Amino acid sequence: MLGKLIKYDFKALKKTLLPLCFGAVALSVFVTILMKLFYLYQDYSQNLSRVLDDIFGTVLTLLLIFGFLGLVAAAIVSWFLILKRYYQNLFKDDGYLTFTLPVKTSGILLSKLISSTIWSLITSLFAIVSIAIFVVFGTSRQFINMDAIDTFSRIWETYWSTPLLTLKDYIIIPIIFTLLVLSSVVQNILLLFLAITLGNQVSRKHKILGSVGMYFVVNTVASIIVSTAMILLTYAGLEQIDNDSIFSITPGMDIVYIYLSVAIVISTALSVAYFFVNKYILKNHLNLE
Amino acid sequence: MNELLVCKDLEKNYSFVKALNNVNLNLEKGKIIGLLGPNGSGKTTLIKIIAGLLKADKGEVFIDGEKVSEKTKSFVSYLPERNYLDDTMKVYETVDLFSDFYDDFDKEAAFRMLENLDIDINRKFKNLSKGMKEKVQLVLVMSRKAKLYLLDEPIGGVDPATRDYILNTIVSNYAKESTVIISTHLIADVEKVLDEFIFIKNGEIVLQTSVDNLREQKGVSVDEYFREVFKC
Amino acid sequence: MTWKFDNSKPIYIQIADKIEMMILSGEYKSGESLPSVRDFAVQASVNPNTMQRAMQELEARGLIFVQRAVGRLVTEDKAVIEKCLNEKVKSITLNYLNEIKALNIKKDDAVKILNENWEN
Repeated sequence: MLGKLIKYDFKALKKTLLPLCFGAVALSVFVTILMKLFYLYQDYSQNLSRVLDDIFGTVLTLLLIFGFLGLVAAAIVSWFLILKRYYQNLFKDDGYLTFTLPVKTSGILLSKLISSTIWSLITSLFAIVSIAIFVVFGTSRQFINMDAIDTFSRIWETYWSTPLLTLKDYIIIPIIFTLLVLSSVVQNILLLFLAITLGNQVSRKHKILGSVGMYFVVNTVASIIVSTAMILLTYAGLEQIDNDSIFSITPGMDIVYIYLSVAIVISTALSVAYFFVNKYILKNHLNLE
Repeated sequence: MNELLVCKDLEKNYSFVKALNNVNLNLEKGKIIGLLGPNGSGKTTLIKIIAGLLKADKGEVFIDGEKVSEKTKSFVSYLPERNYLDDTMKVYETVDLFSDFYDDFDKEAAFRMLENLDIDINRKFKNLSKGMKEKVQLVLVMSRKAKLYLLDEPIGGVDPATRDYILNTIVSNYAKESTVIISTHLIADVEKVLDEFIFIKNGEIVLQTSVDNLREQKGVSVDEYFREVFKC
Repeated sequence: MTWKFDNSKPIYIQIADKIEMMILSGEYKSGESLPSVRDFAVQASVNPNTMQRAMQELEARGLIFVQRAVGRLVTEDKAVIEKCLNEKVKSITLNYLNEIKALNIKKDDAVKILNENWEN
């Protein structure tokens, strides 16, 4: 049943998000082409007219700002669409069907989480592609900006040849990076889901306002709990280990990994808490008006 | 055991309003039952509790011996008093959705009924007229071979011809062993298809009996009796 | 076609009366099988259980009988149909007479009007 739920959630998100993703790429291609036209104009005009240069320059700057804002807007809209699906499918009229399907509440929530996570990763990928198109093709007189590519390949080479990193690091870094991204995306989505669920509980009339308020409340409560836990853990840790030993026994990158792992664990713990609180509310206090 | 639905001491409050109070019901298999009461009497609240959309504050509900859960949802077919389909979906996609989730769904029957209604299954749900939307939802709900059908105001806000179509669809499609609960305030229209009826007033059950019993004993129709009981 | 019912009598009695009329008028002939309860219920837009009860009522009146594997058939006993028909005609006639006599109309005039309207 979970598979079927995901199928329908994924499809519904695809319907609204895919056009947005292609829109972002199209925007980037559009701005890139305008840049090329500007370079062409500059090459042929040879500074014939100062006034014309100024006009073109201003228009171009505005276009770049417009393009950048467009991308930011697309990113915001994509989050909005993901949350809209959650809100409508659970708390608006569609909820009458969602909650009378013969599936568990945890299944409904899990399906929303998985499909939203996948789609937020897909939209991020499209955002990166859009930016890359502009950087590689739109920032130089040549067809391709060789400088940008050179810079990137130099960073890449440095990464693979730095004496600081060993083979072990090259295995751990991608794993820990992936986990970090994934856990923070999941944590964010679940926090937003929970805020919406709570927002529907606290106010019948101002559900969206309630959700926004609940977002800050839950976030604040969570950070208080996390920092308290960290302080307590540090105390416990300091009592057990000699002050300097933690640094002496963990040379090189290990201390970074420990920090990142702790971040991942905290994030996962928060996610689990958000999930079960949300599930509890949906199961026991669902009040569709 | 011939009881399909048992409600025990149900109570439900909305902030300071008592929506249901001391509701006790025993409904048998194989009956069409009218849940009759004025607006705001608690009809929808009761149906939503049975469907699993609301939790009662007190009391219990058993459907075929089971407490309300995802299991009962697999044999309860619920038609709300609103559009509950994702209206960006095409009609045939909604049929697929029902057939994916409900094992008791008869896909062929659904497509046959939609064809009889001349509904283009490739159209988006949101582009259908109001009456068509209600018919599509009814077709989906009645294409299940469920044990219990919960129809909340199925004939409200449609023209008389559609009303007859809807009632005929209900009569000709409900499975023999199953029970149908129809909530409505349009009593004259449903009276002839009912076995029994329940009067609900201010969240309390005031009467549960059979239509012909009432006529034999009091010599009045349910519609007339309703006007008497609920006189303002 | 949906059937119309009045408010005072039980619906199953009204259905039974209606089907009785169909049999007496020859719409369903002696020995002919009737539609199934469910088909009949859909045709009349009534509850199948109510239709079932109407059928039992008709069985009690002796107008139909159940035959295994075939269903319900109109009685082959012509005498029963005859008797029911006579009763019906008599009761309609008595009703008519009650009303027409209340108007103090002479028998000859009443027969004349009856004859004039019979063909229409």
